[in-house]
Parts: sequence; C-alpha cells; structure tokens
Amino acid sequence: MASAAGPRQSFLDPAVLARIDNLELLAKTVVDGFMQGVHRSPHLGLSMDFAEHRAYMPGDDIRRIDWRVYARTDRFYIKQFEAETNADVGFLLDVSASMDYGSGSYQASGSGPLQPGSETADRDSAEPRSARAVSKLEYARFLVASLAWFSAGQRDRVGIYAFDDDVVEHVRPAVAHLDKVLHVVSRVAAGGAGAWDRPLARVGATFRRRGILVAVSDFYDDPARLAEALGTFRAQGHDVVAFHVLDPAEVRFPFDQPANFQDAETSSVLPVSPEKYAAAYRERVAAHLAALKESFGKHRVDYVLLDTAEPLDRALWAYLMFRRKAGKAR
Amino acid sequence: MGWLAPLFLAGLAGLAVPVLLHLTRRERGSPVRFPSLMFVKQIPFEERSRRRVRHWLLLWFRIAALALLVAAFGRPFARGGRLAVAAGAGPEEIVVLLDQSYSMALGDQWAQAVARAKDLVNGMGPQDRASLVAFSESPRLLAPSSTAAAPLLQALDTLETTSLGTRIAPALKLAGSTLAASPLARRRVALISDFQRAGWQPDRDAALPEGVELETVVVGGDGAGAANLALGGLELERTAGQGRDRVTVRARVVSSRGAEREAEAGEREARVALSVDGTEVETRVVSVPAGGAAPVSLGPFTLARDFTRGAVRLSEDALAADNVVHFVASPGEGVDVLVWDPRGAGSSNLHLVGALEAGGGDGFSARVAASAPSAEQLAAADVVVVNGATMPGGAAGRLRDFVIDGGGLFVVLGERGPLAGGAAAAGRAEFLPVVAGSVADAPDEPRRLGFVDYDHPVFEPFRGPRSGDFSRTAFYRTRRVEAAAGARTLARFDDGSPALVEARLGRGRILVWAGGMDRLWTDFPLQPLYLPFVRRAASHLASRGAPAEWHPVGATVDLAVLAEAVGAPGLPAEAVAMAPGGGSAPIDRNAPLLFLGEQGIWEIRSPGRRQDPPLALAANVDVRESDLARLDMEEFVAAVAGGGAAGGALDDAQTSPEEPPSPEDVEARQGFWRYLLAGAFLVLISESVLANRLSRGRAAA
Repeated sequence: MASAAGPRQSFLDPAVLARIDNLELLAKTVVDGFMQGVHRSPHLGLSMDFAEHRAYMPGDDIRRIDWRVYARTDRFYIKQFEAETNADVGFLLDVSASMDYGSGSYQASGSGPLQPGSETADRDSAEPRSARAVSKLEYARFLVASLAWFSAGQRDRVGIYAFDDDVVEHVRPAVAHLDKVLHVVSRVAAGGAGAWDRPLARVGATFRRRGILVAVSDFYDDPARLAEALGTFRAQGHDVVAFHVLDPAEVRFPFDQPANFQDAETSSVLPVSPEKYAAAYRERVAAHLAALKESFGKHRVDYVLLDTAEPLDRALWAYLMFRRKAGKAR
Repeated sequence: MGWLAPLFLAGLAGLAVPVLLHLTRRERGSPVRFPSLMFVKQIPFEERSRRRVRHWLLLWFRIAALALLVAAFGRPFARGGRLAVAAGAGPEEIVVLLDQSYSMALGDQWAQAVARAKDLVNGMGPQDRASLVAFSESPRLLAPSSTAAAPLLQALDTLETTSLGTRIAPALKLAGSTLAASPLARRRVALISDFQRAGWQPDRDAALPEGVELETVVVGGDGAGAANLALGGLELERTAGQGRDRVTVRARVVSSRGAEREAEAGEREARVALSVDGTEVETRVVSVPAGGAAPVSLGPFTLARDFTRGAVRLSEDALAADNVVHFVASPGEGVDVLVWDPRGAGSSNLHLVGALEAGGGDGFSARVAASAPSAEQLAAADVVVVNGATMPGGAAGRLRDFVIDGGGLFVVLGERGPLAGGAAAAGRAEFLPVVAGSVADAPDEPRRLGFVDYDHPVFEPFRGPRSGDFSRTAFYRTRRVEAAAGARTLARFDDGSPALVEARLGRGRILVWAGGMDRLWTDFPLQPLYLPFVRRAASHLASRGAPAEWHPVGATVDLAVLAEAVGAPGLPAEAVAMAPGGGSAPIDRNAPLLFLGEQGIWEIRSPGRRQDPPLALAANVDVRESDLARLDMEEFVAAVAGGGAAGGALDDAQTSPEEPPSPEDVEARQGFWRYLLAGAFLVLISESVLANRLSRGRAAA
C-alpha cells in the first residue's frame, strides 16, 4: 500500500500512461502498481460479517431476528451484517467540449497539487517533468479506468454515465460490466456543452441502490448548484466523491499575448489582453475552487482537485481514503 | 483649387476604415481555444486598452494611401481662367419657387420656407441673377430676374400663405420658361415646398430644360407627412315642412395619410361643431380611424332667412385652414307644378298630382290645366308637366321661352303628345330633345327598365342597395323615341329604346318620358318608387340654377347669375366684394366675376347703402391639400430634373460666347490626379514592406 503522502511513481505519470493504448492494461498497471488490499463496503447487507444488533422494528424481515438473543432476553433483536462486496459504483464522466483541453507545452511545477494563486514565474523556474501534458478527458479516462479496475477487484458492481448536457453513454452497474465500462471510457469523445441537470436526473432514475457515485469533471458551473445537485444523491444515502480535473493553464493562465479566446463549449469569442486579465482571472478561479470546496463540503460530498500534470496516485489515494472513511462512517 | 468629381471626396469617410481595422481586427487571428470563458466574462471589459493603436506608422501609411486615392479620383483642378467657367464657376440664374399653399401654414413650415428663400437670395454672388415665383394652384412672378436682392427680400417679407392647394407643375413650367430665356450658363431652380403628394401630377411639359439644375428644399417633418384632420364633403340636405326649410348638414372628417404612422394611436376623436349665423347650435364628437374618414351629421336647423351663414368647425389641430367649412343657404320657395292635361283632372293625372300633393305637399303644389298654359300661368309655375297634350304653335313658343328662362318642363309623350301630328307638330316642338316614333304594345310580356343612370340627380337617391328597384316596374305600352343630339338618356327600356331623356335649354331643363304615366301604360304609379321619382324630377326641373351653398377656393363666380338665382333684382350699384380677410375689391357690373381667393364668407355690398341681408357666398379650401403625405422625392427629381448640375454646366460653357479652353490648358490644370495616384502606390508599397517586417517580427517573437 502506498503511503499517505502518495509518493510519485513513474508508472502513474499521465505522460507515461498516455503511451499505453490498452485501457485495461493501463488500469491494471496503475492499480497493481499503487496498492493491493481491500476496502470496506459502505453497504450494510447480507454478508457473513456480523456488525451489530438492533431492536426489531415492525416491518423488519422476521428471518433476520436473532432467536438466540430472543431466547436469552425475551426481546426481538435484528442481526446486522457488514457487506464487504457488491457495492454499486457509478462513474459520472463529464465529456463536454471543455474537457477536451490540454495546454500541451505546459510544464508542471513543483511537487504539490494545483495552487490557484501561484505565479507564472514559479512555473518557468521549475524543472520540466512531463514531456506531454494530457488533456483533461484523457486524464479523466485514466482515472475512471483505474478506479473501475480497482473497484471491480473488490467485486463491486461498476457502471458508468458519460454525459455532456445529457447522458451520451450508459452502462448500468454490474459485476461483469468492467469490460463495458472500459470500452465506453476508451471510445467516448468530448463534444457539446456541459450541463448537470438532465444527466443527474437520468442517473437518479437508474442508480437506485445505495452505492458510490464518482463524478469526474471540470465543474464549470455554479458551485452551489453543483453541490446541491450532487448532494441530492448524498441525501439518498449514496456516497459521492467529486474529482475536479483541471489543466494547469486553466488555473495559472500563463498567456502573455493579446488574442481572441474561444469558449470550447459555446464557441463564443472574446478578445483578451492577458496583462490586464490574468490577475483577475486567477482570483476568480481561486474563488471558484474555494466555493466548490466549501459547497461540496456543506453537502458532505468529497471533493478532490486534480491537476492533469500530476500522477494518478494522489487521486487513487484520495479515493482509497474516501472509501475507508465511508466504511468507518457506517 | 477645385474638384471635377467632388462626390468622390465622400470616399474620405473611408479613412476611418484603417483605423477601425487597426482597432478591431488586430487581435483577430486563429483564436485560442479555451475550456471556458466563464471567468473571463466576469472581468470588466477594458475598451481602452483593447483599442490602443500599436503601430502608428502603419496606420498613417494606410490612411495616407487612402486619402491620396480619394483625392486622385476627385480630379482636382486649378481654378482661374476659362477652365474655371467650365468647371462650374461664373454667374448663375436662379428661380426661387416658393410654395404658398395653405398646407405650408402647418407649424412653422412657412417661416422655414421664407427663411430658406432668403438664404438663397442672400447667397447670390454679385453676378448672379434671381427671380421669385410664389405658387399654389397657379404661379405668380413676384420679382423678375435681377441681380439686386432687395426686391426679392422685400417681396418675401410681405408674402403669406393662401387658401389654395398646391400644383407644382405650372410653377416648374414658368421657371423653365424663365430660365430658357436667360443668357447665363449656370441655371438653377430652387423649389421650396412641403412636397405633398397631392400637389404633383407627372407632367412631361413640367420637365426643366437641359442643363438646369433642380434644387429641392423640403420644409416640414421627416418626410412621411404629419397627421392631420380635415373637414370635407359638405352637403346640405333640405326637408320642407310647415312652410319652412329644415337643413341637415352632412360632412366628413378625414384623417390624412400621415396619420397612418400613428398606428398606435388608433382612432382619433374630434369635436365637430355646427354654428349658424355665429351661434353654435350643435356639437358632436366623432372617432376618426387613422388614414380614414368618418361621416358626421349635424342639425337639422331651420332656415329662417336668406343668406343664412353657417360653418362646421373641427377641433383645432396643426393645420387650421382645413378645420372649417362654411356655407350660405337661403330658404327654398317650394315647387309649383302646372299639369297641362287636355283631359282635365282625372284618372290620367290622378297619380301624378297625388304624388306631388301627398302629405301636404312638403313644398310641392300641383294644379291641373286642361288648356294650354297662359303666360301668367307659366310665370307662376316652376315646372310644367305636359301630359299627353298636343302643342299648338303659341303654346310651344311660350313653353320654349319658359324653359329658356329657367323653368322646368316634363313632357309625357303618351299616345298623341306634343309630337303627334306630323312634321308641323315636330317643327313646333323642335326644342324637345327627342324624335318620337310609334307606340309599341307589349301586352304579353311587359317591358322593364333595362338601364337607369344613377349618376343623375333624379335617380341618385335610388343608387344604394335596397333603395328601390326600377326593374320591377312593368310598362305595357311605350313610345319609341330617339334621343336628339346633345340630349342625355337617363333611362332605357329593356329593348334599348330611351325611356327618359333630358336636355338643357337656356337656363332650364326638359325631361321627356317616352310613354304614358297612367295605369293604361304602366304600373309605375303603383310602385313605391313613383312618388320619390316624381318629386325628384320636379325638384330637379325647378332648380333654376339655385346658388351653390359653397364654392371651392380658387373658383370664379358669376355674381349676376348668383343674384338672379336668389331672386335679387340685380347687383347693387358700385358693388364691392368684401373678402373674408377684410379686404375688398370693386366689381365690374359689365363683367361681374369674382375670384374666390380666400376661405370664408364673401359679401357683396354697395358702399353707403344698407342691405340686409347682404348677398353672400361661401368659399372652402380644397380638402385634397389636407393630405400631407409627401411624394417620392427621387421619382419627382427624376421626372423634373433637366440634366444635372455639373454636366449641364459644362455643356453650357461650351456654348458660351467665350473661346473654349485648349486641350493642353485643360490637361495642364486637371493632371494632378496622376501624381496623387502615383503617391498612393508608393505609400502602399511602403506599407506592405513595413507590415511584412512587423508580421515577421511578431512571428519570430
């Protein structure tokens, strides 16, 4: 198992992973290289591991009454078990046009995660580490594939919802659906404007069993609305984790020449003078990230900010911690 | 320095193009694709930094190149000498046409027009000549062609609008003829008007001579015409009762086309008031649809005395002249009908007399005479009905004179009638407008009326739907006649032969009915149309040139006819016409014609003598002038212009008595464009070199 600090390993570097065409091999490489072990299911079910007794309530299945306890205490108690497997894991993969962005020539700096307020000068002085930064969608592919492989290894039921402003690909959670999930992840292409309302409504209609929802997106939307939408699933008993994937250029805005900028989703064009805009832009991005973190936290949605230039191990580690925390909460 | 093609200088506006390109397109290139501009849009847009010019030298090169090109196409030339004349200098002949129709009184249009005319006059050069023509329905030369501006300015100071309409074509003809006689090379017509659509009828003769420039000076609004309400279509409907005439006034409130722009206003409400002899007797409020008309009926009121003056007034709007219509009315004297029927009073004229006297007569009275009417009987009668009577020579002559003097004659031919008796009878009755034939029977299939002239006053009330159907009337016998030359056939039977023929003789009228009017001939007396028909015919025949209740402004009235029509012994000695505006004009008793040049009530008085009531007549403006919609100026100029300014001036210069400039002289003074063009190319080349360098430098950076 990797340490809590998440040491960097070359086989988790996105630039290295981008050279692997086989997504299944990629996921296996990542997961095997990262950790081995089990995680606990957040679902209380019918496995063999006893968890606790609780008093019988009208409506409970009488087959679950512990007759031995009844014989001893003359009271009805229900046995509860901790299910270790067969949790439903649904991946919400944002494939809107904004995800198809990679700054390419950008060289990642430092060793930590993204720092929204960091300056361009810091970046320039850093040692080049990635020869090729992947796009956000590629990074999201790696992440989803790895997490799906990871979950399937724990005999979880994995499914996926790829969406832009509607669900474009859907694989319902099942134990045997890992291949389908990986297939969808590998073939899905970015395009269209992103929106969350309709896709989440469709997810809510199909993802009924309590499980884990993993949202991977760049979250270009109002933080309060996003958190409220995902928080609905949290209120229904699901565990929700939001992976926020951003390209370093989106945060640090390293441009210096006046140019017309085109919105990838709306195609609208705005003339931008970076010397005038950059500082204000960074401020707004920092505020947005802070708002996302606060809003998700308010709705008990786990939030992880990811940089496409950093290795996947931090994401995997975050996911592992999330599962462990979720298990304990049960 | 001048310009041969100054219109090209408008291209200098294109100097803004390089600047705009610099400011708006310098950041265009392949756009930078970015995931989302959500945060960029939240940042306040900084216009100034975006519009900062970065390459001033490049910008100046482009502006200079464009300016040089425009200047080259403008064809500059050096002024002075003969070429200056050829290029448009030299004295000019100007005819100022000033519209003084009543529509020019709208708002401050008239003040604008006079001011523009004064500007033109004051702008004359020392050698220029100008003349002033004021026009409404006809043009008047107020100041002949002169180099002195003072007479024109003086005339302009005393000029006012008239009550007349607009006719532009005659004014242009006068201007064209004035300019055609001018020896000057440059000639121009300055037409100052509100250019109403109603004032222009395309007229080929109104086109200006070749080489004459037309300058149109439009005064007033934005070109679509203002909204305006006007009164028109004044009619007085009389009903006789209890020995007095009751008059109902009908008029139309018309909304001009300019009001169509006020679509949001929908209908406009207008207050209409009737005043009689200065006392307001009734007021109504009518709703007038934009661009439409609304009828209004006021009264009735009793006509108490001769020359009763009335006016219908509309609530005030921007154009006051068309808000009032005047009328002068006198009580009618009733219609005395003398029926000459050799069979005496009886079945043959029972229905005819009954129709006239029914209901107390309502102003009609009828007497039956079995013998030929005497001179005294004729003098007392307004209308004579000859019902099947043969006409002896003396009676024929008296009747002829009676008609010539203004009496009405209704001849019912019947079986014998005045035309029976061969050539002698025909000769005696030659003043009748028909040639009579035989009697035709139709016992099995009665004839009907196949044609009725509803435009004629006798039949006009029956024009509308459900106003009577003459085709239901059966005629069992008819008299075949042919209308004489100059006669008007008012009705025909279904076989095409005339049924009712009218002709004028002297001041009176004759109607001839081809057949009989009793039950042996027709069931017409039993039809509901019979009574109104007989009365309409009698009224029509009795109208001895009754004076019109009003005349249009601009009409010329024969006052002698007017005096006779109202029974006045004649015009008063040394009669004077008093205009509504207070002016007066003497009347020539030998040719008592009065031109009604003003709107309102005109009075004919004799100085020093009291005449109560005075002879009066009303004049109203032409309501067509109330339509303020403007004509299409492009079409108008195209129809009128005589060749344009520059071209015309050059042509005229060639025919001037001075010696034409030599080609070398012309070339020497007009050849600047070549240098300008060469300069433009040099600057463009420099600009290209500089732009490429800058572009490469940017790419390298």
